[in-house]
Amino acid sequence: MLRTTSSALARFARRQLSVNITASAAAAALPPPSSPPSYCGCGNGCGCRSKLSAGSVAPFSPPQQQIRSMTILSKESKEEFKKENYSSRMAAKGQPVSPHVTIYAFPACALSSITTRITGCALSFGSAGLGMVEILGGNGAALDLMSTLGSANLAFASCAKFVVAFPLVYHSLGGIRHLIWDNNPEMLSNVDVEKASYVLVGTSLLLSGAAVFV
Amino acid sequence: MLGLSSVRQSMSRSVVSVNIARALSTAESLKVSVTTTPPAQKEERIKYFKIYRWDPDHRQKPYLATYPVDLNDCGPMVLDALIKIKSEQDPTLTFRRSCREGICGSCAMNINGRNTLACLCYIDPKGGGKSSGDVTKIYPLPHMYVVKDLVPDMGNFYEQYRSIEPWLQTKDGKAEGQAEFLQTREDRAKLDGMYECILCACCSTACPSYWWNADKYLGPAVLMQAYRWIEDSRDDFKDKRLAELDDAFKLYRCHTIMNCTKVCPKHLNPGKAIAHIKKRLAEK
Repeated sequence: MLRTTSSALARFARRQLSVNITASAAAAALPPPSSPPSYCGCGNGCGCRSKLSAGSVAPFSPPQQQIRSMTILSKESKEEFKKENYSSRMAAKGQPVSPHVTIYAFPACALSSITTRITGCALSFGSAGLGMVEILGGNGAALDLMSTLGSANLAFASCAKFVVAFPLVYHSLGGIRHLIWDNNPEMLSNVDVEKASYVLVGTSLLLSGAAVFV
Repeated sequence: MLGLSSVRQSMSRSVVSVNIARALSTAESLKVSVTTTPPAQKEERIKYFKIYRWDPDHRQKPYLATYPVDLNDCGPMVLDALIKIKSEQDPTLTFRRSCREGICGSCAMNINGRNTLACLCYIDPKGGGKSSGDVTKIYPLPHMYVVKDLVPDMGNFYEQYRSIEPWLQTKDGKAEGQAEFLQTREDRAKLDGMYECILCACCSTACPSYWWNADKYLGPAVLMQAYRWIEDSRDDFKDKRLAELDDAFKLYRCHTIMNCTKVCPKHLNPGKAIAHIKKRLAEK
């Protein structure tokens, strides 16, 4: 066991080393900073070019006026916030935005809410598409298209019906749920919201499944 | 590796010496502890932590660094692991922490895909959330501007908190000789579940609406504090506070996604508070 962990650690050390190498290569490719940061004094990890050995003491240099990367709350910052949009000000500083959608483990309630949005978009685009068909194809073209799809072979027709029915049912039920919540804020608890999400998905699957046989 | 094993050896040695010292103190225990063998070396339980790194001084893209931690030699919380990594493996690892007991809100971060306080989050030996196996992934609070590693810029959040004027406002002020503003028990009870907020920003940064509209939408934490002052029976400016919030972006970007309530490390319910504000405005 000890040996396996030591090999794991050695692998880890190698990986760290390679990270450091790539870091220093990146630093070498860039133009050297005009002056080493006053707070480093190590000569190793912080990207400065000083030749200090690890043991020696860095000569003290007074801290230079730097642009702070962190917003400090003050009366001036209040005015600053009124003057310029926060995001554009921060984006100009070149600080990265921390990862969000890609790393977040969304709970059931969030997924059900996002599905409401997606089905809403699908319904809008669907109805807009049908409208275009009607405009381009002449009177009754959209209806003809739908009846053609509906009377195709069984598998295709039921798929087509489900694809139309599910967004319609889900989005309507989701809207009703939202209305209920807005009138009864007390229903918004972790347990009840999760239950409501499962009920919403279950009922709309059932109803749109039933719509296939209509 | 050498360092780790030598630390463990010295630890077991010190345990033995303590045992002997204790044993020497009483004659009866001497018999017992001399026969006791030194504690057998426990099998190592290596847990990998993948941690988001970004240093403003290196002009480099953010990356994930992996750190192995032996759980036998580490406290139970993710914050314990972070402090251990910082003191033993990489002193450049940067994060905020202070109270280590969930009351300061400094160590808010995204652990295994969920926002929480590192000091209140147990190290899950099996992974959990969005990571698999023996890996725990740690990111800064989502969709925030990173100052360094796990430290996000909270300026916008605090500035929004300032904007709701979070203090008691009365029309007449105190009368001559008045010590405090009194309130019935029932009125005081209305503030429970709201005043406990530690402003760690776990809820706000879990909210997709806040991700996309952080400039204009106030976010769950700030809105709940706004409602805390609207509900306060001693405050005379309820209507002004409500009118201030009646805005398509400030309040109504909330779509009741309820990520906020799900992640609150203090088990508060910002989602419900926002729904109450909306209802108040609808009934006005």
